[in-house]
Amino acid sequence: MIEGENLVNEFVRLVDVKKIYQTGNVITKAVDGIDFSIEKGEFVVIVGASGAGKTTVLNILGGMDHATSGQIFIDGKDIAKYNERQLTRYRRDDIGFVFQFYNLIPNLTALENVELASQICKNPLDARTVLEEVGLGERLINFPAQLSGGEQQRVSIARALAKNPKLLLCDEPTGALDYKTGKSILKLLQDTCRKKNKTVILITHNLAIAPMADRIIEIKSGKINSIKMNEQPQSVEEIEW
Amino acid sequence: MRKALWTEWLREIQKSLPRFLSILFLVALGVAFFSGIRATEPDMQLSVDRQYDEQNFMDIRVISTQGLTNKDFLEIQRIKGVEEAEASYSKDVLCDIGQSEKAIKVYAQTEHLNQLSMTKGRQMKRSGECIVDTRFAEENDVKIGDTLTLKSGDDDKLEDFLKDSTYKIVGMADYNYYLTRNKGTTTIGNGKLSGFIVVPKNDFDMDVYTEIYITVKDAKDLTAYTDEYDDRIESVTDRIEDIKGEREEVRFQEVRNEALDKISAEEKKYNKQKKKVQKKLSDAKEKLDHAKTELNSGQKKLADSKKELDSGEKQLEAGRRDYENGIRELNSGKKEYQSGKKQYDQGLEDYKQQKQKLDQSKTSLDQAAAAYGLTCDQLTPEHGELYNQYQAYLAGKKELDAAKTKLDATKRELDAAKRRLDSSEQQLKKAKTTLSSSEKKLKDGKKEYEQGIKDLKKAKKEYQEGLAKYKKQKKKADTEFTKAEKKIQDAKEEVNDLKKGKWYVLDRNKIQSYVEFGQDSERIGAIGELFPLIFFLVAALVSLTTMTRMVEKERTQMGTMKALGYSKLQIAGKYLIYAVLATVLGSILGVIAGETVLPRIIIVAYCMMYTGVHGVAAPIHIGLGLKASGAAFISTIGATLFSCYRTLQEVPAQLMRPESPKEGKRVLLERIPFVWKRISFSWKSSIRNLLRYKKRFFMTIIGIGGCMSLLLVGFGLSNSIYAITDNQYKKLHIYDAMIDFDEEDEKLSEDMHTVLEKNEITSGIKVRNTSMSIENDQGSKTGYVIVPEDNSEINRYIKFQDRISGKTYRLEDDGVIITEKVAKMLDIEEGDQISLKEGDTKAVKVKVTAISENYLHHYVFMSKALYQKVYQKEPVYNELICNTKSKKDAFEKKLSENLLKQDGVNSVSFVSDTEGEMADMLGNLDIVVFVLVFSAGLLAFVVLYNLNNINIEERRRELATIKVLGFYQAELAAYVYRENVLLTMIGTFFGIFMGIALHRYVILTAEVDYIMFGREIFPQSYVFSILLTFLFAIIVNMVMYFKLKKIDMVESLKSVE
Repeated sequence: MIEGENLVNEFVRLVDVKKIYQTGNVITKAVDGIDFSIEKGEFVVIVGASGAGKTTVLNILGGMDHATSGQIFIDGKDIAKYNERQLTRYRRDDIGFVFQFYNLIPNLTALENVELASQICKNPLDARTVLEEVGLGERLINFPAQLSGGEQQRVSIARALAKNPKLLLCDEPTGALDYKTGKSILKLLQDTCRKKNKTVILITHNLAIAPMADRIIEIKSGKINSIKMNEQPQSVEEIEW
Repeated sequence: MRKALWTEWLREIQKSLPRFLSILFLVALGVAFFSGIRATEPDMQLSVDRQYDEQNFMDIRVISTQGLTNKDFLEIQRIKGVEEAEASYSKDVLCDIGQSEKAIKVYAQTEHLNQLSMTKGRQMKRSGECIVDTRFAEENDVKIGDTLTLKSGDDDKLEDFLKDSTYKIVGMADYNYYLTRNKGTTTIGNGKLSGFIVVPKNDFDMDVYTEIYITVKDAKDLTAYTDEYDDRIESVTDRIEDIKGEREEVRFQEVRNEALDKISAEEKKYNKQKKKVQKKLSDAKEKLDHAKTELNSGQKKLADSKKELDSGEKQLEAGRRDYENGIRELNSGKKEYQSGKKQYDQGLEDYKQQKQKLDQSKTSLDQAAAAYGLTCDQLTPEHGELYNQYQAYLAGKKELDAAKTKLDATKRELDAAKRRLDSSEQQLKKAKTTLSSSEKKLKDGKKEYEQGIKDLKKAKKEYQEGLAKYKKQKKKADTEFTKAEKKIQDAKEEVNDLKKGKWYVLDRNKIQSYVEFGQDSERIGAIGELFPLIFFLVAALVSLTTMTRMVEKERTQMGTMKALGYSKLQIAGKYLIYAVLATVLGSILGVIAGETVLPRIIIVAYCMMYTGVHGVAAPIHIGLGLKASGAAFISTIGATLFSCYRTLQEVPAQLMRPESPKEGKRVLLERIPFVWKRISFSWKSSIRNLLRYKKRFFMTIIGIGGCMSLLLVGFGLSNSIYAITDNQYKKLHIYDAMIDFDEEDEKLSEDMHTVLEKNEITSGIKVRNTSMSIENDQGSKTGYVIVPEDNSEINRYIKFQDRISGKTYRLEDDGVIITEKVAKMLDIEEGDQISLKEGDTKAVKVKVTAISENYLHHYVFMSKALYQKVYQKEPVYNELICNTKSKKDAFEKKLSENLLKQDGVNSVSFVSDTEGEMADMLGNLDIVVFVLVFSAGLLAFVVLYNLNNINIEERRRELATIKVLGFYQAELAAYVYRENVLLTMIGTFFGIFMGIALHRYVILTAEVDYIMFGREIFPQSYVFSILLTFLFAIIVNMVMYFKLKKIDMVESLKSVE
């Protein structure tokens, strides 16, 4: 599958990325030599069981953690060589992050939560527009505590999108949501990817979601188990789990 | 209990050691301040009590206006409850120290009660030795081996009560009666008691005791100042009061009889003396009278002799005239005689010629006749011619004979005339002798007479002098008689007016320094009521928050435990043990540190003023310690229990789910879009955060506010203390020097002028300055009464003004100006009446016209006219208030030496010296300021650290998310710090008001009687306090920065705990 790959379209490329923790004499290899590439505008799902190392991969991709070794090319730049400040800049300008538990600032309204992120990056989108796009035009002035889980996650997504990032990273975005809401969130993410041509990487332990992705990367015990390309990704509505 | 549980608990402590320690220290801090400052009041009292007990200090003192007899003493000794009594003597005298004259109290050495605490030298061994007041010796540069010369300051003669007038100093001591520098007032000298000396009891030579010291049974076991002690003493005081009336009567009769005896003896003596004097006078008078008679007779005699002399002269004159006439007559007689003689001689010649012729004729005739032979006789006419011739001859002869007869007759006549002439010449010669002798006699008489006149004049003068002298003496004697009679009369009247003497039964509450010390300890107590509460409150609140937070954070764990089947108590036990351990350890540390260190520091600082207090007793007060610890315990453990209970009420499943986030809330500010829109999100979040976590908000406000207010109190106290000397000597008392004169100096006025005319002194004003009691129904305070020579001139040296409005006052003739502190203490307002009292009795009432700003001592300013009105006499100026040419030390030293050589000058004090001394003394209070600043820092640090810690702990996820969102480290820190900055600012803002209030409270309660602290806090103190508060906040936040940096972004991915 890797053969015949268009290097020009390679937006994300991980080369032999390892993350090894050492506590005392115990060496834990959270990520043990991972290689994969992602093209621009792809909707990628990384699946794996708990502790398989998918979150670590996400952390490394998101610039939240250093890889012990290997190269991580994002848009042609190796972020593995970045220092703390460069990584922060990378997070700030290039990455949108959607958390499992939304991680909204409880004291800011939906709009403000989005603006909080957008105000620090180079070319942000209009927060209000983005929130309207995610279907929260009516709830701009509500505090997180006044929103349902799905709504909170939409705010979270809006916050990530408003930064106009190169890469949208989602950590089990439906993990804390019920089925229906989860689905609508996934739909939102898929639509965003399609309509705005954003590269979206979604981490989940739920294999059932995989059919909606362009590329499915399965991780097992810190290694790539398989990478599948889905020529005809299904729409979220069509997927049942 | 399960071992695993214990292990878990210990691990928890180990893991969260900073938190554990912060609770421990907070509790310690709170408890230390709470119990420490509260312990200071009893400790101060205990320190004095211990000292009193060690020296067998009296509980009660009985004094009487008529003295106390041995019988009185025995009566008192018999009273129930009296453990020991000792009769003794004391007397106020004057003592020359260098140029000045100081009033001091002479005490007789006591045997057992009221022992001195020797500071230097040895006890007295023999008569003529004395022990001197340590402080007095220091102040007046008196050393062991020096000799003090005493003199009486009132009507009593020194030898009437003391055997010696000079005493050699062999030791120095403190006496419990005087704990302060201030020794009170006296009726002698300048009214200020400067010190005391103690002499052997036998050196007192008085008929009656002046005082009886009494200790009360079992009173030693009780602590002075306590109600139990007062009650115990009162029971004995009452019993003494019971015998008082009777004893007073007995003594009164005694004194009356004694006085009457004395008067009658005096009268007798006087009468005798009077007689003697009168006799002497009458003798003198007699003598004078005699002299007068003599004088008169002498004068008369002189007049007689003058008359005689005059007549003698007249006679002499007449005699002389007669004599001269005689001479003239004699001479003419002589001339007549000569011419008669000549005629006679001529006649005789003629006769002789005739006779010859006749004889010739006869012869011729005879011859002729013979011729005839006849004789011629026989010639008859016949003879004719011859006869004719004969006849012619005969006729011739006859004629001749006739001529001869005639001649003979002439001759006889001539001879007679000659005889007559001779006799008259003889007579004249005799008359001449008589005349010259009488002339001489007259001359002598005249001389004698003149001498007589001279003598008389002298005698007259002598007489007049004698008379004047006599008159003078008589007058003197008369006035003396009337005086003596009046004295006797007065004495008699006095005896009639003699009032019954009064016994004063005085307990320790009548000892000024004891009461002052008690009041000061109460002041500290009052401070202790409020002040440590701030610490305690903050400490309790913070440890409460910390514990609550700890419990809430471990909610999941608790849920798990609960699910595992542990009982509520077992689960809560961990937190309880944690809290108990921290609280108990903290309390022990706090009680020990607080109760031993704080009272010591405060008491030592106070003893700068209470020089008579030696040891500091700072025992641990278990009660107070328990109270403070208990309060800490209850608040911390209560909070823990409450949190645990609330948490454990929920079912495990709920517990293991995160607590639903608190709702975000809109703040008021949002209603003003104009402002709100301009605020960035971080600020918005911060502002909302502030109001969201109310507990933390208030805690931080209280913590920071507490820190700010403590700093403000610290600096403010320093300002207030500084303001005392600064305001007093730079704003109000703007003169340079004060020169005291000896009131008894005879040339007082001249000497003052001499001083005023000195080159070094540019100007000056005469004043009368005396110590008096200022009294009204609210109480009595000692102050200086100053009567300036001129009402407006005094303003050049001392300003009268209202502290707040700055309105200046003038000294008026209808009332006095008094100073602020005494007015406040005695609740005096403008227009009120006050009494000015000297000693125990002399008092005048005056109206208060103004209350003037003043910081040191109490003053009453009275105009000359008012003084004349109330005292019915001219004020005797005894002081010069002046300005000098220079304020340089060397100049002042020289001037002072120079002035002290001047007659009449008692002492010279320069404002710069006084200011320096005061500043030194008050500077000792800096230690309090330091303690405050240090505590404030400690408080700020602990509170801020704790709260920040909680803040960060609570918001780890939020902060991690912010980090993930790409906030730089600095931005992240700013995100957190914004809140801290806001809180610090708000806290500081509130702290300013808390500080102002607290400062006011502290100075009002802490200031001693004769000092008024400045009421203002200087602007720079605000600045310093704010800067320091910020600095503490910054330091804490810097420490926190590392904590922030360590926050792992991965946290953001974790589920909510």
